[in-house]
Amino acid sequence: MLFTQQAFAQGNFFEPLDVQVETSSQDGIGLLGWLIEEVSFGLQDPGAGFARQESGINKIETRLFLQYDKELADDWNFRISGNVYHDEVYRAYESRNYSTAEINVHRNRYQVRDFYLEHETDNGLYFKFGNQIVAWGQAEYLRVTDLVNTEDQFTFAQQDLEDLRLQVPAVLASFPVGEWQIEGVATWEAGLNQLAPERDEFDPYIALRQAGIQPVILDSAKKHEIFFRASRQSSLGDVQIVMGEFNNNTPSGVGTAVAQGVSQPPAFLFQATRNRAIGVAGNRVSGPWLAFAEAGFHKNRALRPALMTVAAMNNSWETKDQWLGVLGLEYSGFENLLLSVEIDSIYTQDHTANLWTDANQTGFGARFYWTAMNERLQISGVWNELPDAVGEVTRLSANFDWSDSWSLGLLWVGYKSAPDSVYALYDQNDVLQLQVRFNFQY
Amino acid sequence: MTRTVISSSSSLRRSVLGVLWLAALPVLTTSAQNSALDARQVMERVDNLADGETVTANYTMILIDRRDRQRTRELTLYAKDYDDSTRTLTRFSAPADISGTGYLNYDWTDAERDDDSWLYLPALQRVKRLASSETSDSFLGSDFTYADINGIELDWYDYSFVSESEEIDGQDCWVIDIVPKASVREKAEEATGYSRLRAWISKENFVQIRAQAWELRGNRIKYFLAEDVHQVQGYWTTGRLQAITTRNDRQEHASILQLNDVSYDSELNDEFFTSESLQRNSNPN
Repeated sequence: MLFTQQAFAQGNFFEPLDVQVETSSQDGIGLLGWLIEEVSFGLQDPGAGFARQESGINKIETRLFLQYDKELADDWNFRISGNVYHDEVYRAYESRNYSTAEINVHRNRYQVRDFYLEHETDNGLYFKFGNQIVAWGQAEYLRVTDLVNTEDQFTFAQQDLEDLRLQVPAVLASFPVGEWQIEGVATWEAGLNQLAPERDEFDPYIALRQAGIQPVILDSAKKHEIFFRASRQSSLGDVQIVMGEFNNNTPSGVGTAVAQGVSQPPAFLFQATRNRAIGVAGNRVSGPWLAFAEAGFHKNRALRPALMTVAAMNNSWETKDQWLGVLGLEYSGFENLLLSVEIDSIYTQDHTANLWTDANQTGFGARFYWTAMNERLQISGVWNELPDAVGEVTRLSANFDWSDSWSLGLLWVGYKSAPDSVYALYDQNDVLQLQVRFNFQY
Repeated sequence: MTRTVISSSSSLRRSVLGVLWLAALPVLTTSAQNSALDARQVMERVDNLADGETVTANYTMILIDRRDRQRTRELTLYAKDYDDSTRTLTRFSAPADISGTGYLNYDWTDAERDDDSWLYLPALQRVKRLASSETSDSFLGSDFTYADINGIELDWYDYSFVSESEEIDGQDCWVIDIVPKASVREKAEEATGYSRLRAWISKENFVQIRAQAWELRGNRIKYFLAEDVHQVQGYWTTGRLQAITTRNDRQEHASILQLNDVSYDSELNDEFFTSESLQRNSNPN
């Protein structure tokens, strides 16, 4: 549709503006996507053991995201989406000591994101089959009731929000019971969090590799997971109760492997433990305030030993039951500004001195989000002190929408940790990132 | 009873996105009857216009900055009246980076009860509860606020005639000043972001064809203009709504809502107006 209005007369603001209005067709089919060019600059030398040994460019990534939606029939919808990545840094800086794993994982890769069929019946039954995200809970920094999806942990706090959670193959069924909505989710081979490969800047096993130990990740013993949620939306606040039996997305030590000859390094074996959890999350609105809280009991969590010696790793990590809690507050009383704070707490039952973490761990998070120029400009900042005071992450970002199609982004992430923390190895990973994005839709 | 910023009406259909767009066929009155109305009664008449039990409407929204750069959003709005509330679900389909964004609002008839609002962001695939004071914030970057969309409370305001007869584009209009009552001033200002309003109401059909809103901050004034007012299924409907934000008499930003198509009184499921529906590709019918 196209039409033109009369010319706008300066000073008389009741005159119609002269604009052209074009609308796209709405035929139940949609293809959209974006092309992103992202260049990151590592501000320091990450240190011994990592591939990059100086400050400098650490990512020259081109990413294409495509999403296709199709209404197959009444109440039947289909979606497929995915990313294709290419990182030119591995060719541009091939003199660096990049590992084969890094190059294989990051240089060229594709990723299927949503890939599902959804169906809703007249009586309120809803089914969703396939690769999907199931985002539950309220908390931003601690996963108490948000149990279903795995995460992209190639980097820490550098990802765009839409890339943090990873879709998992699942069947979701949902139906109303009175004022409540009941959901059941079953996953199959959901996998683990995506961890950075060998010598990459957030390689979680870099300390082991420096000690000449090879980490080996074993398949999960059980391939299925199951989750339930009962939720209710009501005036002034919402509540949800979640339970599940699932694999911990972060693998833990389960033993060592016998070295096969002097040339083979000893291996530490890691595998997801089986956990059960129950939790409740809720929020309450009052004027400009939004308060939220979560509480949960996670059973059988495997906890890292204080010392990761061969002797300690010969056996599986100790498992303990943990109580998790979150209290958060959002304030939106200032124009175009959102402020939020969150306190996270973890209590480990039957804690022993052999464990790396304390019995009581507390973390904090704070965030601001400010928009200007009618949301053309978005600026946000996040500060997160990890539980047990092992480290801090600060993230500042600015995005400017030049048009519907083009936007520019700037991101800085800084890391800080105590010298004796295991996170000290990642202290030198501060990054400055520039992003140009082109959106399209047909 | 909830009223809109510029239309002082009870539902979204009578709000900035409402009465200017979808104002209903008024009860016929004679000129003599109209001339006997005071300012409050005029606004009540605006509010009492029949506007259908449900509305489904497709819009294109154009955002224009001071350099004349334009951005376009496409959205579909569903609204349904209940005994205790008006429930509205809005879905954005373009541009690509906000496609799938959804906004759900319960606008309670009880004036003391804050609206309930939820926002679905496809980037997170998560529904977020909104605090009620966010109603004075911009609605996805436009010159319309959430309060403009959801409405404000008629009883919170005093009404007085600025003029009982002013001709606008050939239509005889009342011009009415709308000022928060002292007892609820802070609450009204917090909910809308406006210190006062002025409305131009057509005597022919009780449709609000112009409005002016004085923002609390920044010495800004907004100008609203309704055009292409016509009847659809017997309901007065505005085809194009414009909002211009000015500062010191200079245009800062403008937004245009263009109605592409609309239907009234179609069946919309109750289950559609839930936060679950926000994150699904649910069929509203």
